[in-house]
Amino acid sequence: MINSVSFAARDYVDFEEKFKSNLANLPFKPTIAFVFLSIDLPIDEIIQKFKENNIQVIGASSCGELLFDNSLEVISDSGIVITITDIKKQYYYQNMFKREELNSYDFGKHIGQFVKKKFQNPSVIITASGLTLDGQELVEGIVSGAGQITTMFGGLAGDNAKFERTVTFNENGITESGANVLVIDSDNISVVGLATSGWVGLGAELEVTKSTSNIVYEIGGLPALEVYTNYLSVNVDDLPAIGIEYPLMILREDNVEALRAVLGIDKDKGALIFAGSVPEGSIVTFSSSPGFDVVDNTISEVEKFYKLYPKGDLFLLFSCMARHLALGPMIADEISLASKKWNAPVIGFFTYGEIGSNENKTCDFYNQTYSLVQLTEK
Amino acid sequence: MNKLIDEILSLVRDLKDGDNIEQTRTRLINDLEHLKKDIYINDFKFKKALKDKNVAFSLLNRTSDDLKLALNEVKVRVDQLNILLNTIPALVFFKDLNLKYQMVNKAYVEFVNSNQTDIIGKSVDEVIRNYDKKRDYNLLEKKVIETGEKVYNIVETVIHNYQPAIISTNLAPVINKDGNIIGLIGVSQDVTQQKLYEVELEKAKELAEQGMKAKSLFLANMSHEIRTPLNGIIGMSQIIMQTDLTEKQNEYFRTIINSGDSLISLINDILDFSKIEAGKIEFDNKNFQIGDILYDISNILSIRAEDKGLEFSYTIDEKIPGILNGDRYRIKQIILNLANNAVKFTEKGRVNIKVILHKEESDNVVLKILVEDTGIGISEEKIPKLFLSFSQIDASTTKTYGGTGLGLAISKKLSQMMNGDIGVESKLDEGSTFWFTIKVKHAEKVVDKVENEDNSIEKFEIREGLKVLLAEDNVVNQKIASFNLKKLGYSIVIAENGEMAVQKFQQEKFDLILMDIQMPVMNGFDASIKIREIEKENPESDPIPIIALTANAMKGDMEKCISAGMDSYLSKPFKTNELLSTLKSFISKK
Repeated sequence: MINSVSFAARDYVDFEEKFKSNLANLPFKPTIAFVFLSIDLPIDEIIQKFKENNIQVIGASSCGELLFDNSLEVISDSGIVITITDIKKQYYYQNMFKREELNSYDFGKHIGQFVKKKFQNPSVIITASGLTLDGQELVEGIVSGAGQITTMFGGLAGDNAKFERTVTFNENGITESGANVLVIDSDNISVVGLATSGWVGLGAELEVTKSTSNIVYEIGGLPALEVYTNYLSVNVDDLPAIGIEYPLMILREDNVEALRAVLGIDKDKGALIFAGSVPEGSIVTFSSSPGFDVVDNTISEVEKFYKLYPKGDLFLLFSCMARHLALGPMIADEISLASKKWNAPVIGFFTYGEIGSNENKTCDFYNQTYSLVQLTEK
Repeated sequence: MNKLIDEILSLVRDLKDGDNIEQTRTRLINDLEHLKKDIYINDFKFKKALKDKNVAFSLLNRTSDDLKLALNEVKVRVDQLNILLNTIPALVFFKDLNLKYQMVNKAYVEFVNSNQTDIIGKSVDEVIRNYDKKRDYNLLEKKVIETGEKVYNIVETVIHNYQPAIISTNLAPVINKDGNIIGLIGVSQDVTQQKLYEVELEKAKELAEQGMKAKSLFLANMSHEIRTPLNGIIGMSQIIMQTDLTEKQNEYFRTIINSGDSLISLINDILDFSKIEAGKIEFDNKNFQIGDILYDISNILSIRAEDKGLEFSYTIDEKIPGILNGDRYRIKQIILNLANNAVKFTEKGRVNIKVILHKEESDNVVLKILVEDTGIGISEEKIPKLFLSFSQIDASTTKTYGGTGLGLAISKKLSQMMNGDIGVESKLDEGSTFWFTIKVKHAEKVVDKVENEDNSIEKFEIREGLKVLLAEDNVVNQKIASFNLKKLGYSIVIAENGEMAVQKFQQEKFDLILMDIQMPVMNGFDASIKIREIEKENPESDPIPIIALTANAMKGDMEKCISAGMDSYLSKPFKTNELLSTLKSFISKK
């Protein structure tokens, strides 16, 4: 069984105090911790504390932190959440990758090749910089590099919807353009999860007429930014924030719908910058959450998942920041359920993009998604 | 939330002195905390709903605008297609899988004299009145639906405006995006007028063909009418020349004979040409030696060449196989034609004929024959006209040198029909080289003997004392034939018409009958039939050989003679050798 201790802090002072007291009373020998925090906190000082105590870190900046267990129900947007665990060192590898000059796909491929070498049946937990990577290409690259990989969960780091600087980090350092990867030996630790969205398409079907990777220049022959503001009657100044709530839905040829949230704009070029690729020629519609019954949908998915995997030591949740915006206080309902069902901690953050494995055991990159992963020692 | 507010209200209203204030306060605070949370959630939901509403409303508006635009575009397209459909100058219809009309254009509506609503959903039998249900048109429509094949040019007569109209229809399957046949499209055209033209055209063609037949008949008759007196002139002249004549008289008669020969060759040219034009030339392919042909030509032309002081020679390529298979007469005709011209148009110098092996294939041999002269030559610009019919270089040529102008045209056609070609290289005042190629076969494997035209017959010894019945109405011809036959030692009995010939046949015993075809009272065909009938009544005696004599040197005569019971055929004016050869074949059979 994986043992863990979780706590949340409002600011650095609060963190220092709680870190000290929790460490003093740890009932196990810590190996690795999950740390999600506001970009405004002094990250260097925080990771220094973990390094001093010989605890490895998987961390990311966020658009809000979440931590639920039997005594805590924390949803914050300027604090820090921490879960310190004793996952056995022989069951995992943790490594931070910097992108350097590689494009998102080749960078992913490089990570995939690393993953492949570590275990016969590797699973991956990944946090990556949100604003500098194309999530779709990153996932496709990792899958291509790793070959047989079937299970991968993670999220793109956020910055409280400021869209300025997103980071991912471990105990040794921070990167604004890279990824922090935890490779887990699936033969000893079960890594299973679910990814569910519930967003629905709205309005006319339009064709993406000019795009490269995750930057869309034209939709239906008109500047993409103009089309977006025009159709939704929103201000350019509301973007990209509102673009996360009302993403584009790509109608793929295989009938799988992929949601793409706007993460940035280029006013000069009239372009929209998305969290993942939007290929030229794609048919897209606008989309929205259908209302608060999205929560009911998530709850029923979690119930089904519980029946399949009733034993769980620890949960990580990568939930799209748009869910938080759309569901407001109701977001707590779909998070707390997991913690209550398994009586286990759920730690995570609100992201700029989610990575998850669906029922067919293939990895994909999502937006607007509730991506929950369960870690259980066999 | 209202329930909570009511609870708080009643709690405050019911508050009395002496109540446990602390307990009530705690309850109130608790209730108000809940209320605050509920209000927060409701407030969020309201704001979110408002935002969603604005976005959704805007999207709805825009989408509705898009739809209106798209619908308008579709409408414009539909209008365009309708205009196109109704402007097509043909009857266009679309039918579903049950062969019921789904759509028709204006032209169609007008043609069947109905209106759109009465046509849609109906079958062809219901729409076109007086439709003959026995016709297979419905089956063809079914075939298009079932097989997906197109059917073109279905021609039918229907009633249009109370009159028969001929329409031609093309049918094609209509296939949807998924590749399934969902109906058929048909395009019909009123071809009544066109069909009338076709009938007229057919009539005109028949008339033209009748004209051609009349022309052939005229030529055949002409050849008969000219040959018969000509035969008389030449024959009688030959007879007279064998009597004692003065030198002058001899010369005059030679001129008569030469003129007659020229006239005969002219008639032969015209006949040949009309046969070629009518495509009625058939080649009689047999084994032959090219050397024999050149030898004959040399015999014919060398004397004339010597008379003009010309050197005449021929050479044959040694590589040419000794025996070949082809129509020697036609080959000889071409060479003779070219060589004759060469002698005719050369005043001094020489005429040389060369035969070259042009190409040898497994089955065939291509010969190239060149006739070189040092004559007047032909200017470059006149060469292209040379091989056209009725063409000599210019009118003055005809005056100076004579001829029909058909020789080269005939030679060209003949060489082409023998898979060859013909041409000329020439320089004015220096001479010409005419050449032609022909494709002949290697000799047939069973080689008994090479047929030779004249030589072998002369060696034949005539059995004397044979008795011949000659049926001939023309006195001149009677005299020529009897002169020739008597010279050969035959005894002759003459019958002046077919009826008399039958009588004579019954009265006396003959070894052979020479039967003219065109005779008064009874013609040669009928007389021969009669004779064969008589013979049938007396089966113990051998049938008598009957040889037809005819000036009708046209195709079909031979067949007619044979079917009338005759054994062979001689074209008048016949040469002595030809007569002998034919007689020999029958007499040796005996």
